[in-house]
Amino acid sequence: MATTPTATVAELTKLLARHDSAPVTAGVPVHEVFADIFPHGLRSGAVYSLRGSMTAALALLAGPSLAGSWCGVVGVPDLGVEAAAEWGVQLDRLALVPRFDPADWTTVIAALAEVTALVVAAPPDRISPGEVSRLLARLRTSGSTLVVLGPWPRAVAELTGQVVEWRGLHQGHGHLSAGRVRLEVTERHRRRQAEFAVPVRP
Amino acid sequence: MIGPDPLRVLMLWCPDWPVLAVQLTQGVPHDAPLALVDRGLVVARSAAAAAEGVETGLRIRQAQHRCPDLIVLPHDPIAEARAFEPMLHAVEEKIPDVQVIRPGLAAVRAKGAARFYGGEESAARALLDHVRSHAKGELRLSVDLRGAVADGFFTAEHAAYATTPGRPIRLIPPGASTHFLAGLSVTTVSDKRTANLLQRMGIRTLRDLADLPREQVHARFGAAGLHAHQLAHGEDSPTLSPRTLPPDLGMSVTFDPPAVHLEQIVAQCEPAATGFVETLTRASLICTEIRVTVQVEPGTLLEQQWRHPWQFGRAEVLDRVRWQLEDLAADAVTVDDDGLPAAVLAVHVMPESLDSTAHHATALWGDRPDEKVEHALTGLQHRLGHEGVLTSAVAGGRLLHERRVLRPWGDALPTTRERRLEQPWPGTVPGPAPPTVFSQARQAQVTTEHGAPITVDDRGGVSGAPAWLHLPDDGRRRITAWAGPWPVRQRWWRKQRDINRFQLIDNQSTAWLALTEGSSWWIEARYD
Repeated sequence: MATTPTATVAELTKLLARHDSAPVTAGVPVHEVFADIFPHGLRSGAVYSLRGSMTAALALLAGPSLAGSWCGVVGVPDLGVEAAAEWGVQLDRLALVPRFDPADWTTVIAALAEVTALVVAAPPDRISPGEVSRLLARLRTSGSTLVVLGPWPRAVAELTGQVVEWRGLHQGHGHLSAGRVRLEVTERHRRRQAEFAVPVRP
Repeated sequence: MIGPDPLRVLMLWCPDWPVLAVQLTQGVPHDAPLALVDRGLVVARSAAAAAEGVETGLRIRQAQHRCPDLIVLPHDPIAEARAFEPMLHAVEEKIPDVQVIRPGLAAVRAKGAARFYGGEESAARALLDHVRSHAKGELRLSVDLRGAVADGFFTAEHAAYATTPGRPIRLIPPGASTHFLAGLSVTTVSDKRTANLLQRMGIRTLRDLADLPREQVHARFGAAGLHAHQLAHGEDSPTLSPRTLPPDLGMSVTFDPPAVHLEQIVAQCEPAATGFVETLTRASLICTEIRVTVQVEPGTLLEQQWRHPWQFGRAEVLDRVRWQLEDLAADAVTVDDDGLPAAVLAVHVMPESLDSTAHHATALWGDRPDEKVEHALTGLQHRLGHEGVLTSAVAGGRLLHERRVLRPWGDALPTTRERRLEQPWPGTVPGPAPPTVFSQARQAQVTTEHGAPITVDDRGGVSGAPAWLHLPDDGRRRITAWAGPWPVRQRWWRKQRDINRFQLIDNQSTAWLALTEGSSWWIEARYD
C-alpha cells in the first residue's frame, strides 16, 4: 500500500505533538494548602526532595490519604502519628516501616510504591546511580511519588519547609496555639512558595 | 431423663486431673507445690501442696501462708478439657461412645464391653491398662487411673471415688446401688442450700433421704428434691449421650530426629500448613486466631497465640511459626547461624477463633484493605520480620510516646474503648500535636543566661528563666519564648517521679517539648 510522504509527515508531527504535551495522567493529589504551588498535584513517578520541615511532609501525606489512597512512611521512627491524624492522614491507610537493614532501602521503597500513592522516606546512606535509575523505573510503572527527606540526586523539585513563626508562647506563660509554615519549591530553577497555617482548620 | 432402670456404666476417673493437666501443659514439675484458684479460692492442689496443708476451699492468702513456695495458677477448665482429649482418644480405641462428665471423668456403656472381655471387671481392667500405657507412651505421663462399674452415672461416679490406689476398680452389682449409696452424705445430691436444710432437719445420709416417701419430698422440696430422692434410690439416666467428635482442624508436624535448623523446620511445616488452610476452606471456615505450640527437646512447650485481622492463609501460618522460632532463637545466649538453642520435637498449630465464611464475605467496597495492598505489605513483613511493617493509631495518654500506638501489620489495633482517647487526660499538651515525636527522648540541657542548669522545686518554682538550649549534636540555641513547668503526674502509686514539661521556642523558629526531672533534661518532641 502506497502512502504519500506528506501524509506520513503529518502523522509523525501529530505523534510528536502528542508526546510533547503534558502527560494526561493526573498526578498525586495534594492538600488544599498546596493547591497554588502544585495545581496538578505531585507528579506521579517522580522523586521530590524535602528539607527542613516535618509538618510539610505530613501535609503532603494528607493529600493522597484524604483522596483514599494508601501512603507509606519509611525510615522515620520519630513520626508524630497524632499530628499526621490532625492533618487528615488516614491512619488505617498508612503503612510504617521505621527500621530495616540499610541495604534493603531500594527494595522497601519499591515494594511500598507498588501499592501506595505517596511514600515519604528518610534518605539512604548511599545509593548508586544504577539503583536510582532502577527505582525511578519502578516508580514510573507504579505511578506513585516518592518524597525523600533529604538530598536526592535526580529530584524533579527541591522543597524546603521553614517555620515562619509560632504564636501563643511568651516568656513563661501561654502555650503554642498556632503557627505558620512556608514551603518553597525550586523546580527547573524557578521558585514558587506557599505559606500555610498550623493547625489546619477544616 | 431419670428412670427406674438406669444404664450400666463403666466410669473412668483420673484423680486430680486439673493439677495433672497444668503440669502437662505448663511444664510445672511434678513435685512442686501447685494450687489452682478460681475467684480467690483454691479449687485443686498437687500432692506436694497437700502435704504442706493446702486444702481446696482455702483463700489464696491462707494457702500461701501455709506453703510460701506455692505456685498459684488460675483454674482453666478449657485447657483441662483440651489436655483430656488424648485420654478420650485412648478410651475410644477400646470402647466407642464416650460421655465426658467433666475433664478427668468419662463414662462408657459397660454392657457390650463386658460381653466382649468376658466380665465387667476384666473390661474395666483392659480399659484402664490401655489408657495408662497410652498416657505413658504418648504424653510421658504416669497417671493414677480408677474405674468403676455400676448402675447409672451417679452411682458409678461415687463408686470410682471410693476406690484406692491399691484397688483401683470397684464393682457395684446390678440393683445394689441403694445399698452402696446409703452411707453417702446428702450434700452429694443437692445444692448447698437444700443440703443445709436437709441436714438441719436431721436428714444427713442418702439412706435417711431414701426412706422418706417420694410424694412428700417432692411436695416439700420441689423438682430438686425429687431429683435428689431419685438419685438416692439409684435411679439414673437410661441413655448415654456420647460426645460428638469435633473435626480435627489443627495441624501438627513431628520431627524425628529432632530438628535444630529454622529453615528446615519451616520447610517441613509447609505441606501441613497447606493442608491446614485447605481443611478450613473445605469446612467453609475462617480462622482469625491460631495457637502455635512448639515442643522443645527437654519436654517444654512454648505456646503463643497469633491474631490476624482477616484470615490466615498458608504463608501467614508459616510466618507465625517462623517468628515464634526466631523468638526462641533470640532468647538463646549463643548466636549460631540459623541454629536453634534447643532441638524441636514437634510443631502444633490449632485454630482458636473460627467463624463461618458467610460472615466474612467482602463488602462491596471493602472493609479490609484491597488484596494488592495486603499482599505487598505481607510480603514486606515476610522479608523484614514481624515488627518490620507497622500500623498506627492515636490513644489517650499524657506522655507523647504513649499516645502513639504502633502495632505490627496484621495484628489488631486497640479498639476505640481500649484507646481511651475521649477520657480527660489532665497534663496533656494543648495546641497542635508535634510532627516529630522522638521514639527515645534525647538528652539535652537547658540553662539560664549565665549557664546555670535550670531546676524545678517541689512547689513548681523555676530556678531561673531558660535562656539556652544545649542539644548534644546541634550546638546551643537561644530560647526566645518558653512556658512551664507543666507537671506530668501519673502512676504516683507505683514510683513517684517529678516530671515537668516545658515548651520552648528557639531563635531558629523551632519549638520543642522538653521534659525535666531534677537537673536532667530530655527532648520529647519537636515542632518543625
